[in-house]
Formats: sequence, structure tokens, C-alpha cells
Amino acid sequence: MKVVPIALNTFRESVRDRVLYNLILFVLLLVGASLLLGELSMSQETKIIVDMGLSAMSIFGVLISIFIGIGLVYKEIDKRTIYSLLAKPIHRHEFILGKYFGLCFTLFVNTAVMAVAVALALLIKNGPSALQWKILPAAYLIFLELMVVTAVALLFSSFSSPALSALLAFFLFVIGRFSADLKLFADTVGSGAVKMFCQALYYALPNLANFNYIRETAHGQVASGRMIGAATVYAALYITVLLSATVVIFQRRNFK
Amino acid sequence: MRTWLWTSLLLASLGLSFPLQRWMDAQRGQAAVVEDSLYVSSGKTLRRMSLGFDALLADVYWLRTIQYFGGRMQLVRGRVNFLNVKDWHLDLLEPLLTITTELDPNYVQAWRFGGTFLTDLDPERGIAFVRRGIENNPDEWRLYQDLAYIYWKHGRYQEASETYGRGGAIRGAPAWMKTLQAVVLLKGGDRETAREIFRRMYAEGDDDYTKKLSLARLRSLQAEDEMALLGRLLSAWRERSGSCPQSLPALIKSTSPQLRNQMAQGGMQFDDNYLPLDPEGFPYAYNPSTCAIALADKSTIVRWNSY
Repeated sequence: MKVVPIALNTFRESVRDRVLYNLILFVLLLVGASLLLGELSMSQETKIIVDMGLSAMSIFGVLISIFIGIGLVYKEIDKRTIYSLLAKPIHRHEFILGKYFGLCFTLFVNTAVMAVAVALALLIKNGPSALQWKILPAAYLIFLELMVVTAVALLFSSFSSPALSALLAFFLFVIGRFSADLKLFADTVGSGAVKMFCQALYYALPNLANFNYIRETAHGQVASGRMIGAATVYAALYITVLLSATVVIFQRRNFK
Repeated sequence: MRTWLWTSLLLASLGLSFPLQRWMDAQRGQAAVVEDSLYVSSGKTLRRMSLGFDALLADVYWLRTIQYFGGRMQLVRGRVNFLNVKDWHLDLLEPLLTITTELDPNYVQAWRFGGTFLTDLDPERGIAFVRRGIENNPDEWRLYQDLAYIYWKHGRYQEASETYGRGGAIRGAPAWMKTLQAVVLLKGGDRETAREIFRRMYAEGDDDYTKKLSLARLRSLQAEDEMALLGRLLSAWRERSGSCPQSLPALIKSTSPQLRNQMAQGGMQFDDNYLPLDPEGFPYAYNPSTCAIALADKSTIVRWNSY
């Protein structure tokens, strides 16, 4: 199985590309929020630290997923390194899976460090409390969301230019976050055909709201084990669909 | 060119931009921290536009609400009756709080803030706002406490009592909510009930703001009690001698050591010459020609229009 070396190499490449530098910005943001918001927020600094920390985790992660994800395949083609890679005994699906899991590992490190930073900020602010542990399920769900977005970006990058891939991946992210409205629209619209179309879209497109537990976490609530399990299975299914489609498209590409 | 030249140029430009910005700010007048307009007035619309970051956006609107309120407070200080919130022209307070709570219906602090200040602007709107908060957070006993307080403040003792009762029935609510249910119904709006309500609000307050507000009201009540006691002593002196004492120290010195001891134990403060001080440490104002006692002009004890 050549997936692991390709994944590790992709991770090393993203470290060399200074992707993890965003962590510095994140820590500065948290420190700034902790110092400044105490005066401004009327005792809501803990909630704001959680909201800001988890939202920044999601925003930075989505930006990395999209902008690094779209370049994963394209860079290899553009630099023509794909020829030397595929000349070796590497299957195309191994190449795609390796690239995908490599970026996912980068995102995992990124999310884990950010989660520890948020927990530390809360520890400094309030001393030991249950909230420090409650952010972990929310961070895990954000990571699942990032894995889905990365798979989306990889799919588009397998057949399109980077700019168009970024645009399409971002649109799909927005639609994924709007999916609840899509369902609402389907439920309220009168026309049968439109209703069916909206419902089909709702079930076909990724529902990223399944992974968003930021608000609940900020209020000290935790997603139930069943919901976390269901979200994990949902992410696994959706990622399988996206990666399968990517592999099919990539296998049909002609690099001659 | 050499590096040091570029570095000097960079630092000089950066340094010059500071006075330039200050000059431009001065030319444009007081830069408003918060605009007096809302581009998007619906929290539900904003929630859809937030791409799932509604909690973060709720925080942004909460901070904006606090800034708006604080900005208005600074603006009216010394110009209008500072204690009458109606004079502050807080036109955007309700829309801002509505947006905040529509973005995050569990933002209890925002519901409580609205309960306090929207009620001062319009009691019915304040009551409706806190009721919406309770609908969204039916297990939050503090909102029942706030609603009951609003009812009590406006003399609606029956509704206050019922609300204390409903809040007290929530799991985790303190037992005194049930006590207040009975006290409010039996005693209505007397000072002792008020003291009990504010004492509870101070003890249970989970934020500085509630604590400060309750403490200010407790001190105000303490001052009222002390002035009532001093008034009774002054009446007794007048009945005895037919005139008013020349000064408050003269009045205090004429009392028995036991009474002075009782007064001190009740929290009344005196300076070295037996001049009585209000709970914030300012001497009471006394008029020897009318025997009238009042808070000194410079006293920081808050004069509430009502409890």
C-alpha cells in the first residue's frame, strides 16, 4: 500500500509550504480576545472565546482545505512530477487517497493544536472546568467537516483549473451550510416538481450543518454520542462518494 | 539604497501617519464608535447569511449592543437626567438585542440585559422581551427571576409571585425563589421585600453587572433606612426642644451609647466627629433650619426613581 508514504509526503510538503503558520495568527487572535473582551463583553468572555476559537478553527480549516486541496493534484500535473510518480508502481487511486489523507493529517494537526489552544485559553481564564473538555467533540466535528470539504476540493481539482475548483468548492461549502434552508424551501414550496428538486438537492449535497455544534458548545452543551456517531458515519459515506468519483475521473484522465 | 535607509523611511512614515490620523479624526469631529443605523435589521436574515457562524455573529452584535449602550451613556452624561434611561434615546437598543437573541436564542445575558433596560424604556416591551427569552430558554430560572422583578417593580405583585413560583419549580433553581413567591404576595412593595430581592440578586448574580446593580440598590435602600432613622431622631429632638439640632454630630452625641452601638451594628458609618456617613462614605446633607436630611449632592448613592 503506497498510500501512507504519499500521505506523509503531502503532510511534509504542507509543512514546508508553511501552512501551519496560520496557528500563530490563531493564537494571537485567542490571546487578543482573552485580553480585550473581558472589558467589553460584560462577563461573556468565556462564551466569546469558545465561539471565536471554534469559528476560527472552522474558517482557517476550510480555507486550508479549499486552497491547498485544489492544488494537490493540479500542482503535480503543472510541475509534471505526476509523470515520474505514475511511472512508478503506484496506482492512481493510491495517489489520490495518499494526497487526500496527507492533507487530512495536516488538518488534524492544525485542528488539534487549535483545540488545545482554546482549552488553554479557557484554563487561563477560568481555571479547570468541564468546558475545556466539552470543546473536544465540537473540534472533532469541525475536523469531520474539513475532511468533507477537502474531498470536495480534491474532486473539483481532478478535472478543473485551480481557480474554478476553488470557486466550485466554496459554492458547495456555502450550499452545505445553507442546506437547512434548502429543506425549509422544499417543505414550503407549492410546486411538486420544485419540491422534489429541492429535496433531491438537500439529500444529494453535503449537509455541513451536521458538523456545526459551536453555539451549543459555547453554552456548555455537548453533542450527544449518537449525533457524533451519526455525523461520523455521514462524513465517512460522503467522503467515500466524493473520493470514488475523484478516482474514477482521475483514472480516465490522459496524461500523454 | 541601503537597508537602514529603507528602515528609517518605513519608521518615519509610520510615525507620521499617527499625528495625521489624529488630525483627520479631529477634523471630522467625534468619530462615532457605533453607527446609528442597522443595515440588516433581521436576526433571522443575518443568521442565514452567517454560513453557520451565527454564534460568532451573535457575539459581534452583543459587543455592538454594549458599545452602543456605553456610547450613549457617555454622550448623555451631564446633559440630561442620567438616571432616566428614556432620555438616552436608545432607539437601537431593542433592535440590537433582538438581532443578538435571534442569532443565538440561548444568549441569556442578552435577554437579561434587555429585561433590565427595555423595561425602563417601556415596561410592556421589556416584559414581552423577557417572556420571549423564557420561551426560548424555559429552564433558565434567572429569566423568571428577572421577569418577576419587573412585575414586582411595577406593582404587579400577583404576577410577580406567580413568576417566582414558576421559576422556583425549575430544577436547579434556588429555594428562595419559592420564598419570594410568598413574600411578594403577602408584603407587596415594602422596603424589606425590596431588600430581600436585591440581596438574592446580589448573592446569585453570576456577572459583575448584576452584582454591581444589586449592590447599588442595596446601598440605596440602606441609605433610605438610615435617613428614616435619623429623621425619627430629629423629630424626637424637635419635640423635646422645639428646635432643630445645630448639626448631625450634635444629634448623634445626644443619643445613648447603646443606640449608637445599635446603629453601628446596623451598618451606619460615622466619621471621627460622629458625623453620619451614607453607605458610600459621604456625609448626609442636613438643613438645621428645617430639620431636613438628604443625600449630599456629591454622594454617589444612586437615586432610583423606583426600586
